[in-house]
Amino acid sequence: MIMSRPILIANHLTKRYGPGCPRCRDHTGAQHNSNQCQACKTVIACDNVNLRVFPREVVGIVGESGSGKSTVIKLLHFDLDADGGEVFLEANGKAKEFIPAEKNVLELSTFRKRQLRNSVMGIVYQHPHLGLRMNISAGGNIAERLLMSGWRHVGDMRDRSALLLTRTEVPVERMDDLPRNFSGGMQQRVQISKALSNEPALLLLDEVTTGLDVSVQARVLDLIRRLQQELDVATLVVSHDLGVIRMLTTRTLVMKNGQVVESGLTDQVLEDPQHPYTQLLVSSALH
Amino acid sequence: MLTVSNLSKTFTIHHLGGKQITGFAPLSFTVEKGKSLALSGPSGTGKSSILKCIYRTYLATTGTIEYESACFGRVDLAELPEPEMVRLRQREIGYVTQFLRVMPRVSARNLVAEPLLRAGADLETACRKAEALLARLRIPAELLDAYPATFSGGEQQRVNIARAIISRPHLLLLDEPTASLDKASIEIVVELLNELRGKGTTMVMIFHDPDIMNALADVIHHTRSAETAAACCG
Amino acid sequence: MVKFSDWFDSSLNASIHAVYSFAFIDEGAKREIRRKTLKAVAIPGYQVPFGSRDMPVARGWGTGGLQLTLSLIGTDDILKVIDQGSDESVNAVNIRQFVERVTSVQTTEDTTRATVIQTRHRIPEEHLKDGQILVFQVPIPEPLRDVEPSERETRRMHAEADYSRMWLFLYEDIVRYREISIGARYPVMVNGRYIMDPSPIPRWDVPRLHQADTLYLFGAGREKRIYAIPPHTRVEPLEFEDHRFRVEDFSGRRCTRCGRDDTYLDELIDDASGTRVYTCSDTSYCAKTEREKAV
Repeated sequence: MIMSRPILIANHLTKRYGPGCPRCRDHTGAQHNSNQCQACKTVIACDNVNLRVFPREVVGIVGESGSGKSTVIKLLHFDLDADGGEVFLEANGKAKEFIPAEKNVLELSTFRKRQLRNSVMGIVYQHPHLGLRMNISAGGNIAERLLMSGWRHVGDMRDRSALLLTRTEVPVERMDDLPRNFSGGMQQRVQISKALSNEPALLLLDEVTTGLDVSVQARVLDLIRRLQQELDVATLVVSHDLGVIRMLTTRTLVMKNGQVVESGLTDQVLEDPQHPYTQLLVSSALH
Repeated sequence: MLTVSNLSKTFTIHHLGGKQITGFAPLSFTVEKGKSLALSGPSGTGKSSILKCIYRTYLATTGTIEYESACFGRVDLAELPEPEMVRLRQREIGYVTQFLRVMPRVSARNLVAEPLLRAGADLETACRKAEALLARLRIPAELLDAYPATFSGGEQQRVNIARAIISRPHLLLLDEPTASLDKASIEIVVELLNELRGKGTTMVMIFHDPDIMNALADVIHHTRSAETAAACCG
Repeated sequence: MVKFSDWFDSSLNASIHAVYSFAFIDEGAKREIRRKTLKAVAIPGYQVPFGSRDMPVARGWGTGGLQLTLSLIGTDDILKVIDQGSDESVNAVNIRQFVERVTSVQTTEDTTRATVIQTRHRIPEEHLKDGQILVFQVPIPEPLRDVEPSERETRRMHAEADYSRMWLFLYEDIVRYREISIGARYPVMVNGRYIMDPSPIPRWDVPRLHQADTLYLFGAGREKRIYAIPPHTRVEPLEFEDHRFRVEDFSGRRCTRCGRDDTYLDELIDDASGTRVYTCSDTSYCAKTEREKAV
């Protein structure tokens, strides 16, 4: 059997804040326990990250705040512009017409990037206000993504929104209410609905349960797992929480100070961590 | 089917100044297709670690684990790229311990049906097979929709076993899956495992109970502590 | 209050052209406005920034339209100026007199005779032909302003044709009111590329922007923007497949003055009887109809 091609390949992904200098590498990274270059004061948010995600696979990125894990997701979602590296995406549907698989998508125009993002990706942010418009109805938030993909039938969009809200266990009768009046857990569900509305091939989850009550966290995680099984969507999960990583992912990358220090099968990373930082992370976790 | 050569495991504990802890000393063995091999030896000789190395939960320090894969042909499980290893875990290699390590808030039926669903079965068939297997393992029908996290130790173990064997893995790794089962349950498990073996599943197992070991194992491999191994071979 | 025309008379008397250029604006400024106008015509629906000059009229009183008119007009042109369809409102009269004074061109109230028509918030009812130019006074040229306050962001949205927020605005309108509630300033898609604000014309006039024989120019003096719809350009109001664009419904009503039932009607309350009456918004067309009936 030949393994299918990765849906996402990221090579040498780099993001820095500052001018950068030849000595940055000598001052930053996990072994220096810093992501700021002493010479030029540049902050290296993410340094030379390599990543592959295969179809239907759930890959985790774990690390503490400032490790660069969210930067990776923001680079992949084109929320930030990368300073280096390349990304290849297996485009689907409409995007296939204008984006060949061998094209480094970081080089696309912002216009093309948005088209690609709309057709291939879905994202759920830690803070619902990043992913949702709080003064637009829940249904409208979902419709926005559909409108981006060219939907122009209100009834069809409402049917689709209702279906997605049902799937994510949001009462359909709240479709026309504003998300600002929703609980944190329900806001995340609406975000998930929105992310899934265009049937993305790649779902990006950025600390989706952080800040929620434990019982609400559990329900959101259950939901993601169930949808994961139903939809077979490839997913990249970023979290500082080893429990979330253990529950959702099959492979994991560990990041520290902008670098990937270790990667492997999730149970291997958690039970036989190799890097000193991962050992510390695992031994510090509450079980 | 499975040839382990010169396999060893050493843990490096960085916060103890890079202290080296031996998991198990280098060992080699071969298991033919459809045969079962029992690892036997005193506690602390790394029997569980050997299974974890084969399953890639631990990374091997030295040696190779040659496995005749249906998906990819002959591969070295110690070196196989992770996505392929994930595929083997989903399709070919099962692993079961005495500890239930599954998702919270998933019903017993769904938990057991899941490996079949992942292999492409439809929901109804998978659920029916899961129910039948759980019934055979004497899990009461009223527990099918309950969460196994709330089950007794013995019930959890039986759910665990059902989940590991339902998709008839080509290679099954068993680490004391019957540790807290009563005699009647153990008999059922032994019967199921023997059926599986009869259908061609290769097994590597750890059973402390010599009766169970003798009932299931074709070959017994004796493990030794690192010191003994060093004294003997070094 | 001193009337503009009185001031003009007393301060300049007859030798106006000796003091000001033809059509008031200096030639360099006219050339700049014409260049921007050409660019606007070349990119239908795209808002071209221009150096909006001070006019002897306050910003917000039609200075954008006025500058377009003054930069275009030649001695052989015939000018018509309307405000909400009327040739007789104070603003229309003032602007018409001003242009007349600084150019000496002929003026008219007859839509069919005019070569340049400056308008506020209406398109004349009579068919506009090739060779005529309709100049709109535009208060808010940015159609996305209601959904996005930042100019930088709206420019980006136009550049990338990122219009989902506008569509979302319409969607929410339907969710709230069961229909699109926008009256005037109904957003249109020009040539399949730019969403454009057609100035606060009623929906009634929007279909006449599509594949017209006439050149439409839009000037926003305060916001310093010029844009255009060249003749025979695709102009489509934003609509959903199940919520189509509709014009105002005047069925069962007719103009109490001329009797027409196929024009855009203004609603008035008759002081004497207290009842609602309707009259044509386009006053010159209404008068023409009356004259024809009388004959």
